[in-house]
Amino acid sequence: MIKVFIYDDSDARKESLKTLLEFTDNMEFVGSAGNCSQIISDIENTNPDVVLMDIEMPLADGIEGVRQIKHIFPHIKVIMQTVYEDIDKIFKAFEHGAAGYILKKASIDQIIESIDKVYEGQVFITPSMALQIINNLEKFSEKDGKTSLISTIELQIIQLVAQGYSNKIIAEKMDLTEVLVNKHITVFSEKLQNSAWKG
Amino acid sequence: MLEVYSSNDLIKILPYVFTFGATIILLAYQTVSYYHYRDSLLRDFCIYLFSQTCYLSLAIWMLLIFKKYTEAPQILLITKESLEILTYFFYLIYTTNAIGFDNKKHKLLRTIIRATLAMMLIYLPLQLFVIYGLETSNSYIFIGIRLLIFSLAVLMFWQSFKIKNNRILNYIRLATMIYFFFGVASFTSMFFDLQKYHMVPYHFILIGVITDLIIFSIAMSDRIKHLIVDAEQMAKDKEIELQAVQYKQELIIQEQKEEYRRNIAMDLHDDIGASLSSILIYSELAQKTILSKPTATQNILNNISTLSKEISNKLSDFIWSLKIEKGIAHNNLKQRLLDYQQLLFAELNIACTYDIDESILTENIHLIRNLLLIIKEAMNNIAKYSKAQNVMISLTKTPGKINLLIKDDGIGFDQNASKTGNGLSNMEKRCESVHGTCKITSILGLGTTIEIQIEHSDS
Repeated sequence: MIKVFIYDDSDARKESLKTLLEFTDNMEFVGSAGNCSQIISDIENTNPDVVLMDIEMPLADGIEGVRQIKHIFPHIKVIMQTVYEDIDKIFKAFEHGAAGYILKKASIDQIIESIDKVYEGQVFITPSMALQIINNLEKFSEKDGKTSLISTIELQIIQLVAQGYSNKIIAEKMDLTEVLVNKHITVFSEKLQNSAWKG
Repeated sequence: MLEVYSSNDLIKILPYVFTFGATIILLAYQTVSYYHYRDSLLRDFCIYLFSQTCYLSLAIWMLLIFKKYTEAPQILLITKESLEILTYFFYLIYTTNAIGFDNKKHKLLRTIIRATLAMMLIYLPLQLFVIYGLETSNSYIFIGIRLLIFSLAVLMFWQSFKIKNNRILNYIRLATMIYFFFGVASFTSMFFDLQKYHMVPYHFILIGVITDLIIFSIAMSDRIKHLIVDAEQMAKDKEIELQAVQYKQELIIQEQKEEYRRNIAMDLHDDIGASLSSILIYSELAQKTILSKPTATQNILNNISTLSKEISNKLSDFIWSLKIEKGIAHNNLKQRLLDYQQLLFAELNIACTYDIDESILTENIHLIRNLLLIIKEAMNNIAKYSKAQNVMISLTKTPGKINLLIKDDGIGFDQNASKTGNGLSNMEKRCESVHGTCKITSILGLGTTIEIQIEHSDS
């Protein structure tokens, strides 16, 4: 069972996500909160595997939330969720160690898939975010000032993600195994996490 | 009449006549100049010139009639000397104003000048009544006064170095120095026999006057030249400043428009976005569970229905606030709250009293909407949890502040217990978004009071 904690300032949203988790076989809703001001006790009391994190919240927002979680509980995976694709905030979240990102308009399949994937240690990126990454590649540089070391194959995969293909299709197109495609995306995201985002 | 004058007498008068001529020409020129430029310093200069002209004309006339001052009646002598004192007086006023020193910084100089001016003014009547009455020669007093004035010129010259340099300062320094020099020369010459040079001591002072007049004229024309340039520059600066102000105002208007749009988008997102995304989740879930878990699906569908109603209400509030802003709403805030009360409290037997200052509806749309939603949220909590019988809602304006007070006599809640439900934190969130302060006081068994204060400008 994947234990999931939800951060969202909307009651309705929290309720619906809770219902979704209750109806999903391999997942368990362990708790929810309207903002990240009590984040350490929230996490300590419920011990989740995955946190669904709203970015826009009053008092203590999701960026602060992901920073604190990854600092104190590095094993917990955090998926960011937003209404708009605010590229700066999303990359900021990735810089702090977020493992995935979904839009609030995402379908329940996408939500479930993202939770499953990050639980398995992969990185979940939506096509639109992949597109944003490609469009903003020049904004990345390694923290020590060197240029980013994104490989050609990673870039090709990200471009296919941006076109909306599933990992399975990408694997077929590139003549790779799906596991390898996932691995590439994860490595790519780790590179992003290790690079400074100059948004 | 002319044949009675010796050439010696005429040579004595000549410097007076020459100075008088120079003074009167300059007076005419500077007066015209003053009427053209309306410069206060030009006015002071003209007054000094006029006084000098009067004095010289009297002196010349007296010398022509009586050949020697000593032969003139006492009254004329006193008048002549009074005019001379007056001339020094205006000379002093002119030079002081020309230097333009700062009253606050140069206290010593100011005190000295004021004291001297006052002394001169006191001396005038004194000489008329006391000295004239005593019928004694006042020439020593008079020499003393001249000496004082010349020392003052030195003092001003010395003090002028402490003053921030300005355009005229150097001219004035030079003029006072020269005046002092000829003053000393005149004083010293009294101890020598000047008769063989056909001179009297006052001739030195006249040379000083003429030199001063030349220097002052140059100073004034320089000043006027720069006055014109400065005026042009000032007009240009003013125009640039005006453009900058206009540009800033445009920027502010644009920013206000931008903020307005942002607020509307944010409100729409906050009020409706979350509920819509929840409906999306519920409806997709219902599609999956409808066959396998029909009972659970029933609950999910109920949730969708509730959320849809909520969205519909929120949209209605949203549109109402837009209409309020445009002044085309059919009902005011109180009517809107009454409608909500009917919907909420109808079955509950809760009496609700309102004290609403509808003029608050002229505030910005974001504020109005948040106020409405805070009140509604509070009413919702009262209906759900409070078991209250009486509710009082007051929304009033005091200078610089909007005050919202919601009070019920329900069961209250334990403020130390962790907040259940999102009602209170939602209210706090809304309050924060309109830069207000929110104070919630609840006493078990006695009810709950919510006090909100929002700063606002009275514009």
